Amino acid sequence: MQLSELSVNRKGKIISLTNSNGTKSALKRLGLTEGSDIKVIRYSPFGDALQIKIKEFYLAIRKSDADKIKVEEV
Amino acid sequence: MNDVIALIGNPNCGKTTLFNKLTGTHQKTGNWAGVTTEKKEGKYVKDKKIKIIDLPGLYSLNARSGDERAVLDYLKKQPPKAIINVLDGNCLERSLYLTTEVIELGIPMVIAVNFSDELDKKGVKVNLNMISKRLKTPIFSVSALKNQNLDNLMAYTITNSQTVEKPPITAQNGEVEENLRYDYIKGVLNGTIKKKKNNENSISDKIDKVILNKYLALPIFFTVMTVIYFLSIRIGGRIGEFVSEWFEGSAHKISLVLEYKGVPEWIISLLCGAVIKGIGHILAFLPQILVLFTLLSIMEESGYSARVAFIIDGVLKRIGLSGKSFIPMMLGCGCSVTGIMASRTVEGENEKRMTVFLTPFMPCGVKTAVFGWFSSVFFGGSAILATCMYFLGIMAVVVVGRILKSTKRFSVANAPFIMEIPKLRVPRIKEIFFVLYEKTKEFTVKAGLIIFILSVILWFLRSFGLKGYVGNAVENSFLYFIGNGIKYIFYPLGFKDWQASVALISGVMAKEAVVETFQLLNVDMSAVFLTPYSVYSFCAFVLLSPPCLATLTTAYRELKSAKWTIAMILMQFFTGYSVALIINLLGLLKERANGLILSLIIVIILLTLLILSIKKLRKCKCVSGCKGCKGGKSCLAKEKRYTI
Repeated sequence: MQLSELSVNRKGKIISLTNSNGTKSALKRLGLTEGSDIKVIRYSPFGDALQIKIKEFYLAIRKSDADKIKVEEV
Repeated sequence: MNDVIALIGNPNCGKTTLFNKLTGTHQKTGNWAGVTTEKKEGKYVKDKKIKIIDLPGLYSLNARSGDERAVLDYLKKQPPKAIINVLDGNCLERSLYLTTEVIELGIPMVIAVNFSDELDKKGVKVNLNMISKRLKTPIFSVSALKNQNLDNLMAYTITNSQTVEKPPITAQNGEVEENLRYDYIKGVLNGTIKKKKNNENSISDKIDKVILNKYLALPIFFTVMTVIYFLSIRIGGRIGEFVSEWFEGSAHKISLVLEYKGVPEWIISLLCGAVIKGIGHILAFLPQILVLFTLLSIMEESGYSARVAFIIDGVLKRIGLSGKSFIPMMLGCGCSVTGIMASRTVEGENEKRMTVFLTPFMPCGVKTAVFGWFSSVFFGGSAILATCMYFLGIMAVVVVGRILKSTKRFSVANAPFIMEIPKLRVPRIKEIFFVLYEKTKEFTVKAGLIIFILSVILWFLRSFGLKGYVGNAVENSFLYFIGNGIKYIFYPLGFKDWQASVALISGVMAKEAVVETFQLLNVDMSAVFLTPYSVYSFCAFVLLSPPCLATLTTAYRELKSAKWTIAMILMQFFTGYSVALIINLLGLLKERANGLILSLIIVIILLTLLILSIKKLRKCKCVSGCKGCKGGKSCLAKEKRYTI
């Protein structure tokens, strides 16, 4: 499933990332590597950005980029 | 032998605080990524021979963006004596990613794990000895804020730091470098971190539940911004009025004394009319600007501004900006120069350029003070004018941004928006006082120099003409000729008198000079501005037309291109002129039909020009198979996508 399909406050594990305009390596350097735990904290009021928790810190990314991250629910 | 020590670390890991403690100087800090946008130098307080350099925060040395490249180049070309790699103790795993890259540079290094006090409080125990052994790098647990263990760190770095054996990370066929590094880090950290309990819900998280709530986030944000604005206009404005009155009173008293003593008239006019009053009017702006800056820096220090970027990215994305553009815009409410400088943290060439273009539309502290003055002259000091201008600024950002985005130059796909959301922190009073101190200094120096010189020049142009000193007969002065020459440009905007034109021109030097000019010329304001609409029109022009010289210079530095800077100035002049014209037209429609036809013709010309220029820029290039869609997701050929 895509990260954007993971419901809020559920934990997931990253399976793979697809490149969408150069975000893949940037995200990986921040710790979104395959096999890492990831959690969706909340969506922004307009619903097109989401706050995720990865390796003990929070990150804001756009939904369009979250669509490119494949996860499995843990 | 060089004695340079460089600080390197992730954004927002407390590097700047550490730098300030070590050098005793005060750099601005903030709770969002990217406060240090240029490297800064200072001398170690306990040994002046040691130079300390604070590098911009970064997550990796490997990225292609400007800052990272610059840091890597710098470290390779002028390797420092040693590097202190500052880690955020709260997220060691991510912080160590950069460490593994820094080690590979082969420069002597020491690790400082910051926020040790916060870790203690959270009850997290980290076995730093074990990590140090595995990384073969000395590690010091410090708290930059509380000054813990900094002396030991420095003493060791200066005398003992050594190059570190490189970690065994080499990407071989098909392996991904990022994964290898994180695998290595996992091995290093294995079994070293002990958490007391699962404290998922820290206070910061609890507050976030409210301020980032899907339905509450926007109302809270608007309330916060409105309160900030009202407080600075109300409180700051009132204090400012007292200051101004005091100076005017003193100028009057001094002039009476001098007159009695028989000092020549022109000296009195220069000293009391230009210099003392001028300084008074400038200092009158100070309280308002200080209140504004205090509140903005609280927002920044606490980490709320990073959250707002997350909240409103959805809107900003649509007008060619990124959520990160919010921080430059917010700082732009204080001062456009600071705002434009912060645009460096915005990713994507287009988004960055757009941020530089639009930030000056936000009413900076000085512009707000100018509106405050107009309001006190015409509307009994009500805050409505300034508030209107604030919203007009936001509207201009949205509308002009939207128009620019539809042009070919700006129609490129959005750059990614990836931003760390830092933990909320209680703002440190010391930091805020420092910002205030810096602002006061900066502003008084500016007042003392630019405005002083400008006052004298204006006074000269006003008091002298072809026949020498003209005294009160302004009609013979140089200034009258200049103002008369250009007043026709502003004729359609509703202010017909030459004084208004002169005020606007001096405004290019610094916006405070607009008020200064009116004061110096002793203008009967109600004769220049016949209707409230012309006041609004004038203020809108001040708000939206090209900003002061300092801002233009900064914009040029960030855009790195004369062509783009000129484009920006033209765009701003056009925006300012059109909006002012529309306001004046509305006024004319309501008041009388006189001059309406002329203004209508100009509006039509302006609109045609606008449409033509957009059409020209939006030249459509259809790819085969394209049936003339409007771009967007449905278009197949993304690279060749043009808005039609």
